Amino acid sequence: MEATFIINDETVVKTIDPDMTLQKFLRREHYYSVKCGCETSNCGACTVLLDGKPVLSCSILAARAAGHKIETLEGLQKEAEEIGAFIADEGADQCGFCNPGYIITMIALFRQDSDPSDEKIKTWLAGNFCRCTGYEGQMRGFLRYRDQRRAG
Amino acid sequence: MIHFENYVRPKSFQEAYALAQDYKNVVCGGMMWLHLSDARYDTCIDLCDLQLDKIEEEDGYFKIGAMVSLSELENHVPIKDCFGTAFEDCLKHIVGVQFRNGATLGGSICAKLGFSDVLTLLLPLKTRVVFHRQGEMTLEEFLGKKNERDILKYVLIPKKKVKVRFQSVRRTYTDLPVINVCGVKDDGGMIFAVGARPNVAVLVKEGQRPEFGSNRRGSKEYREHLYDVLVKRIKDALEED
Repeated sequence: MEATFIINDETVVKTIDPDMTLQKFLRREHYYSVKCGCETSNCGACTVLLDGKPVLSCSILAARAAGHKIETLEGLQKEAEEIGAFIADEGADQCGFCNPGYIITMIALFRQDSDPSDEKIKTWLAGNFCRCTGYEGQMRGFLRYRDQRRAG
Repeated sequence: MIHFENYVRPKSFQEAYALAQDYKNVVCGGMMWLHLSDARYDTCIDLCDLQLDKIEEEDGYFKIGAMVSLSELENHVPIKDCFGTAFEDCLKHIVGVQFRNGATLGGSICAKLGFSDVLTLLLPLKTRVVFHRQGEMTLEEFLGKKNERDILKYVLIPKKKVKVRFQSVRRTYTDLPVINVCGVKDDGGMIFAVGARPNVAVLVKEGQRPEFGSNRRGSKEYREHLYDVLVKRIKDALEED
């Protein structure tokens, strides 16, 4: 079936299988920041923004996402660089596989709430897994990012 | 991974209902669990064009569309004003924000999953469900009957300020629950529901004890013990308020 997609502000018409997930579709279209971690709605590595909200692309049909605004890390490089530097400084990017999902989730959070509490940051990060670290590095990095924004 | 040959977005309830009568077709809500199935279908019926993604207030009820996401429910301010933090306390444990942005209330109800936190929360709130063909019934009645191939349209929760407490025991913060309990205190007294027994949630009738069983998340005896503890904690919290 043919469908129209708006990916990182670019409108394209593509052919998809009806049961193709958004993750498979985006990776087919070379958006490799969308990782394939579990495909069982658990790890958050496949997180993308759909109409500004973080969703699990492994669990959403590409057909359902048609006509909606899709954002991947490739289209958010400026914001991603800024946030990513903070978690890199805290050693939270050992293999780096989970980082795109983390960064996309945090971009969504800080767009919605420019000064989230520690608890809210933890709640939003609960859906992103990391095999390498102990999660402390990510938490420190995002708290420092928030604190720097507070300080202006 | 689920497979289907066709994808349709019906423009009317009648169209969706007609398609759903064929056993070769499947109705999809959020698809958070459905996509894990290895089943093969002919057509996926996506309800996303049926304007079911709104929460409205009508005739003394919250009228919640079946395609409202769990995160919308979690953050809905009028619902928080009415029921306090109970919805947030219940829903915040469900996997993560990304998952809850995709999972729908309708999918959570129609799947009748034993580990559902949503069903345990909604039962003691005297929730009603509205189907296209079957019409309106209590959630308790729906959970007790065999599923028909129907389209869930709305979930109605009486908009009445009541005291609600939800508690669960889980191995990790976002894991499936070992057991969950919800208590509501209104003018008529206290009413409880318990879920993840591991069977589907039930209302606890006066003087009766719910049945529990064992699975890999916990034994029957463990659940029986936890049930008494959670009910006591909820009772104490409701009486304290």
